[in-house]
Amino acid sequence: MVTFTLLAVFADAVAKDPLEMDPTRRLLPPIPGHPLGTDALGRDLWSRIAHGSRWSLGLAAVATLLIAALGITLGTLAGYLGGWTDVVLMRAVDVLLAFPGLLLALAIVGVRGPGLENALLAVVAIGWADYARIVRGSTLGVREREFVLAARGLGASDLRILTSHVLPNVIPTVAVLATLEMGQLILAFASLGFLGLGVKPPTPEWGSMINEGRISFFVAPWPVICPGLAIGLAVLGFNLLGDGLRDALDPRRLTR
Amino acid sequence: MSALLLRRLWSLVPVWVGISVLAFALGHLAPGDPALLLLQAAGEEPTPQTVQAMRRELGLDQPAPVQYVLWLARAVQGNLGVSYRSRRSVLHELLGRLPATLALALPAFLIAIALAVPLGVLSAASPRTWIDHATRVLALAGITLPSFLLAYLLVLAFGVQWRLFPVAGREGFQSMVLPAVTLALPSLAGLTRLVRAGVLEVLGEEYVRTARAKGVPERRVLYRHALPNALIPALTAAGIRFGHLVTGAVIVETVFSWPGLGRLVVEAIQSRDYPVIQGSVLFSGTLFVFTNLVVDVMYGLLDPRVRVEGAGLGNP
Repeated sequence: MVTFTLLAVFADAVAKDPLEMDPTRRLLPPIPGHPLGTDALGRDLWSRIAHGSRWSLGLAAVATLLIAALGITLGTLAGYLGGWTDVVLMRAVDVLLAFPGLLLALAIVGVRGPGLENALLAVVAIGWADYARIVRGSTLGVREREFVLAARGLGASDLRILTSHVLPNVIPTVAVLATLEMGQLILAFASLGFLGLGVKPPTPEWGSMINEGRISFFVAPWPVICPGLAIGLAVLGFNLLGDGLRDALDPRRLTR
Repeated sequence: MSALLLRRLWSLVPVWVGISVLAFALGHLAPGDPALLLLQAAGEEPTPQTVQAMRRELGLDQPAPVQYVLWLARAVQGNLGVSYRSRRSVLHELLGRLPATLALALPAFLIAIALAVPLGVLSAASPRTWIDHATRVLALAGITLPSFLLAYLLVLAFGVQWRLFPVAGREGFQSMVLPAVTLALPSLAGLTRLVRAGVLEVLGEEYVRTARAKGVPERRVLYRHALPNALIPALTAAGIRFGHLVTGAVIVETVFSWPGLGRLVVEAIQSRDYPVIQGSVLFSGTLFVFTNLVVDVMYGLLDPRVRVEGAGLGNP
């Protein structure tokens, strides 16, 4: 994971221009000078994957932040206010969770048109449900605890109770969820890219790189396999990190 | 039993209504005037009069809630509109693609269940052996391997290297193997984990200890006492998985040029065929709610406690 983050930060130092084309060096297998070979336009794959990590990880990170913020806000509101707010929000969560996310994201991108903003919009519009449900649960658990009642007795406002008493209690749960979902988001953006609905070429995003490489797959599989492996490793990394975090933060799991 | 069925059906109504609102709203997110687009798709030169007439015919001059009710009333009668691209009814298009999708989803589902149960049980019954480790590695791989990578690796190995199976299209049983296997692996991995966790949990229960204490053979403890209870949570997950297999095979169908529902959605998006996009959301949502219902009812049949308590959807 650290490797991928470093790669994203130092892409310029370790790799060449990801857009530079060399028509004489197309679809090369891995050779010295091109550690992962080249694609159909003679672009160095290693450079494209290194630069692509900025897009793929960056997009997922931005989406995670937006989703977590939205999910926490709506989840605490539902749990704390209860009543109709709760009913409406939780029904929306039921619907979103009952549905395969990719299909819905596709439909949103489909009607709004392909592109970076719409892909982000679609992923955020669907992703908040998980967070809202879990945060609502924690908020319900905390709402009637003594320290919250005491704060209310002392005349603290709702906003203050939420931000300084309820929120700190849900943060660890959200952190674990965010790490686990980061992998899923990388996959989601890669899938949209792969279907030609995410970031537009020639931007080196891993999913769209696979899409571009598909045409020449039977001549040269590297332009498909290499970004695919990058996605797989990134997802694996975040899953392992998330599992580790969960074990570290949840003492009940230690006994298993 | 019928009371249970009715209650389940009732609890799914709000979810279905939510999905229908979502599908309806999608149509309104689309840029452009549907009346204009429809006229253009029909090959007519739109004039202000014909556009106005078409708007009235489609009910687009009504307020949004009225439009929703009208749209829903038409939709439940099977009228999901007309595809801009093929000019055939959207329902016709969707039903035409369903067999191809089911032809992948059903085998994938069977593969996943047929392997997940024995693997999960073996792995739980013999912790920290090579079987356990191998199963856990397989499960992790299935969860983290993106399906496009897996698909292309399989194509490379079985299609290009050994030429065992065709790599694209839908012609005969052979062409089904690679896409069905690709589709099965994530479900297989998820279910194996659940079965393993379920068996491990049940093996720690009092009644298993009792059974062992009175000298019941270990095999019998495992298969008669532990397994049925351990399988209940896995069953729920399996049902939801099946819904995902039917509605979520977009990537696999794209890689293997498989003419199913997922391909239809992608093609509709590429050609901005909004009625098809909208229709497929409603259609898949309905399929999904239906699978949920079947799972809920089976759950009630298998677990006598549920019949008395009756937990709602998403709260099993």
